[in-house]
Amino acid sequence: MTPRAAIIAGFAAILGLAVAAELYARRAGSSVRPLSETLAAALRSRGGRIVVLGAWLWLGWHLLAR
Amino acid sequence: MPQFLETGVRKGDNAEVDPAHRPLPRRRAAIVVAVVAYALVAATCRPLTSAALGAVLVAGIPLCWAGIRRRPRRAEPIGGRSVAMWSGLGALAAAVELGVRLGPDDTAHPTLSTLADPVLGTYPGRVIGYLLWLGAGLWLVSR
Repeated sequence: MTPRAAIIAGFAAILGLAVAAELYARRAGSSVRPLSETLAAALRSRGGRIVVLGAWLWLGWHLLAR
Repeated sequence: MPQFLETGVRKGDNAEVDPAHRPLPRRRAAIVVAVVAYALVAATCRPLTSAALGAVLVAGIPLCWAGIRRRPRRAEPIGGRSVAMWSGLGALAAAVELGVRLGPDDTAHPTLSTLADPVLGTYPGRVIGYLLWLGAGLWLVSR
């Protein structure tokens, strides 16, 4: 496997894990919450808002402007 | 005598000022139009230019400022397992991206942005990218 293929497989695996975690969290009686609820809870504190919005701004810069 | 004549207010007037039905959709429509207009203009800026950096910052800085200053809505407390799972996945993605970024700078070791280049290198792809990015930002700020 080439390094390029391994890196793409790594990103795909993380995406697959995130989708699986979201599906698991949306099951009735699940002990974990979906991503949207976790983000909303993180945004309750000023520190959480700085981290989450900073990550959002970095993502925009990294994908659209860098 | 009908009630709307007794109060001197016509039914049509009630419909005009009812905040539950008219102003909110109008405000939402205005926001949607503004976001689409921004995406259409911002997408004309090619990546790796100062214009693209300006396009990201002109929307990103005010939204971050508003989001950090505003008092958030009440949200239900979540357990430590949720925090551990989602922050773990985020840290894993960040670690892979950082590891690739710090490695050799060639096409054999692509970062997330390099992989997105075939899509974001086109104008329609950038319009969609700006729409998704700004939509996510507005969603975060409105929580």
